[in-house]
Amino acid sequence: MKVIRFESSFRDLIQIPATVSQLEHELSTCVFSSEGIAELPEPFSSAEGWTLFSEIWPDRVPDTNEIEIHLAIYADHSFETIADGQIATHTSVGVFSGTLFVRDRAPLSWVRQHSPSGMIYVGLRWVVDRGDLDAEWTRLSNSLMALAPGKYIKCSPMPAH
Amino acid sequence: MKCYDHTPLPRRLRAITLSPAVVHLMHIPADVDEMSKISDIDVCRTGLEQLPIPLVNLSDWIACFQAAPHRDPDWKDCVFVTMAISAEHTFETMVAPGKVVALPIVPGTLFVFDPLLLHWLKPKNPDQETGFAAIQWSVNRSEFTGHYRSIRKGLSALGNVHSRLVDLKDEGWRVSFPTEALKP
Repeated sequence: MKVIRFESSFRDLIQIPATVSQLEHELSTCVFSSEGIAELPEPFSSAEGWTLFSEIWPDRVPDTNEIEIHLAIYADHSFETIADGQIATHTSVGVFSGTLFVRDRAPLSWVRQHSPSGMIYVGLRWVVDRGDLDAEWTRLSNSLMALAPGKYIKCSPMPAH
Repeated sequence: MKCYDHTPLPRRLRAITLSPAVVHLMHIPADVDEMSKISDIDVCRTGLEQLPIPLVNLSDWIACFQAAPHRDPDWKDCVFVTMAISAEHTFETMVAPGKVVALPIVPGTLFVFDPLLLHWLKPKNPDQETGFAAIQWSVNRSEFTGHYRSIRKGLSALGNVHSRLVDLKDEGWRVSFPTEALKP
């Protein structure tokens, strides 16, 4: 799993349209919007759209050929996944403002809030073919690191027990 | 070959539901009702011993609005037997890597689960008022068969306990009870 944490000041580079922010009052599930994406600077404008949710319950799409890259803009969550296999590998990664991470929908995965009355997740999402993930991750992460030189760390998910 | 081609998921399971008359006997104390509106799982024993229920292995009132996926390794020697009194939820447990059994929970649903397996409880609708409040027995694994039988017998003495094998809906990686299977 790939994870880069950018400093939260990173979000100042991204203007969230008011119509998108308003969606957080209508959340009963995960909401998507492409409103205003085209007006964002590169590389944000290459995103498929905004993603908003309070939490995501365990789910999977076993045969999907797509894979998602997410950039959290507002978040205080953990993304957890269980690799499918004979021995379950349960990993967890903290997701905060500025966290860039990959969500593979094929294994069981979920996103939980750290606080039950906590922050709504708002982020950008890219959807790529599985075979293009490495190239797209490199393109995107290099662009973002160039925008915020020295203001990021690369990290790994932690085993969860 | 993908490893999920071989499924360890059951095709049929037993659905057990207590009649509304039995549920009606289980008055939910105010503090438990309050706990059922809060996300974190909490337990208490308020008024439990005054209820007409089997006392063997009786543990707690357990309540929450929802529960994120977790395991309970502190209870490794036990199996939980849970009787929902207030609920409009879905209980899910991962029985093998990436394989999930989903059980709709309504008042009167009696269900058994292994606390060492990953499990979670989600509200049917995140905006709903109804919280989850249940009476739970913690039964030692080595004594499960006999003690579970005592609990079932004690509940049956109060009123009808409907028990039937139902065909599960198969979604490949998850099997679920059809909602109608839980009607008393």
